[in-house]
Amino acid sequence: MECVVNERELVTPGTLVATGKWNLSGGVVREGDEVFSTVLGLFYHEDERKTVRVVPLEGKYVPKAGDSVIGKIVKVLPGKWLVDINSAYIASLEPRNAIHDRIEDLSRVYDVGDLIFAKVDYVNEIYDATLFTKASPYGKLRGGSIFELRPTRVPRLIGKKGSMIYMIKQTTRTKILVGQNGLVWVKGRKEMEDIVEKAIDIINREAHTSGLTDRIKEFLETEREEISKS
Amino acid sequence: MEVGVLKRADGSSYVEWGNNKVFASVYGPKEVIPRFLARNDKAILRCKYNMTPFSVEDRKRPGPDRRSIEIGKVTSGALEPAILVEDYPNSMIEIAIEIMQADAGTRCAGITAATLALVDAGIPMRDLVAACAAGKSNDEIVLDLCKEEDNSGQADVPIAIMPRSDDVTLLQMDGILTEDEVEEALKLAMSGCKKIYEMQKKALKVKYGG
Repeated sequence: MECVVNERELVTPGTLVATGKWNLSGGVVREGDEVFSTVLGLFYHEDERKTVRVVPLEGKYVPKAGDSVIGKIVKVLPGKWLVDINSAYIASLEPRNAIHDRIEDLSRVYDVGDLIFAKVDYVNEIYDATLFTKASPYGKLRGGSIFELRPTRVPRLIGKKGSMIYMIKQTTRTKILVGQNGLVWVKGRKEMEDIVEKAIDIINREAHTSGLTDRIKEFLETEREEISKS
Repeated sequence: MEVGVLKRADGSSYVEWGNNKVFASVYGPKEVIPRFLARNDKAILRCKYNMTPFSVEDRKRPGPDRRSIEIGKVTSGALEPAILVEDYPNSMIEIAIEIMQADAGTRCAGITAATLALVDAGIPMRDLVAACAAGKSNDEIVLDLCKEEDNSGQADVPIAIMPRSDDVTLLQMDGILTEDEVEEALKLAMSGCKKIYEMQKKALKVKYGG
C-alpha cells in the first residue's frame, strides 16, 4: 500500500496514483489493486484516514446539499420556479422554501431573469436540486455585478476560514457573496467592483499556485492607491 | 497540441498533426435537448465532426454529409468507453470537431483533440484516448499516411486505444490487407498511439506549467 506519485503532483486522467487498499474520495477510480486518476488535477493523500484523492482543476459544478449558490430564474411554473445554477442540472425552488404566505402569482416574488442567492436544500440521486431562500442572507440580489470563475477555484477565492474573501472585502469595502457554483456577486463603488473583478481573474488563472493570498493582497493595495491618487 | 484555446467552450483543444489542423470543443455536461434522448443512468455523448469548405483541395460543399455523420458516430463510440458517463446521469456532453485543414487521418486527429478537450472540460475519464492510423502504400506497411500515400495507397487502418489497458475503442479498415499485414499494421498503429499518448499528457500539463 503506497503512493506512486508525490503529494500535490499534477496528474492526468489514467495516471496510476497509488496501489493497495486506500479509501477513495473523488477524482480517482479503483481497478483491481491499483488506483487511477480520472481527472486533470492535483494529487493528495492522508495516511491517517488512508484516503487518496485528486482535486480537479476543471469541471462543472455538481449540486451538493448545504452549498450556497447564486442562480438565475429561468421559468416560473404554477407551483415552482426553475433556476439556472450554472451546473449541468436545472434546480427548482418551491414556494414553501421561499415565502411565508401563499401567493397566487409567483412571478411577483421572483420573476424570470432575477438573480437569487440560495442554499441547496436537498439533492436526489439524479442531481435534481431543491433550493431554499427563506432566511437571511438568502434571497433576491438587487444591484451589484456578477462575476464568474471556475467552480473548482471557489475554495481558493474563499481561502482558509474565509481569509481571502475577508481580505478582499476589507480592502475594497464591497459586499461580496460567493456561490459554490462559481458565480460571485459584488456590490460597492464602481471602481472597487472593477478591482474585485481583476482579482477574481487572477485567482481564476493562478489558483493552483502557492502564495496566492500574498500576491492578491499586494495587487489590491497597489490598485487602491492608484484610485486614491486619481 | 494545445489545450484551452477557446474561451467560450467548457473545454477546447487545437491539434496540428502534420498538415492536419483540428479544433475540438466540448460543452457540458448540460441539460439534454431534445429531452427524450436523456438517459437516467448515464450521460449521453453527442459528437459532431465537420470539415470546413477550405480544408481540402477542391472546395468541400459545407454541411453534414454521409462521411461526417459516420465519423461523428465512430468518434463518440471511441470516446464513450473512456468517459465515466455514469457520473452525470440525465445530462449530455456535446463534442464538436472542426477540421480546418485536412491531410488524411483527420478522424484520428479529431479523436485525439476531442480527448484533450474533454479533459480540459473536467469530465472524469478512465484514461486518455489516443488514435493513430497505419496503412499500406507502395506494398509497404507504414504509419500515419499522408494524403498522397492514402489516395494512391492500398489500405488504411485507423485505430483508437486507451493506452493504459491497451483496449481498442476504434478499429476501421479501408482497403485490402492479408492477415499478417493486419497484424503488422495494428502493431505499428499501437506504437504510434503510445507516442501520441505521451504528447497528450505533456500538452495537458503544459497548461498548468507542469
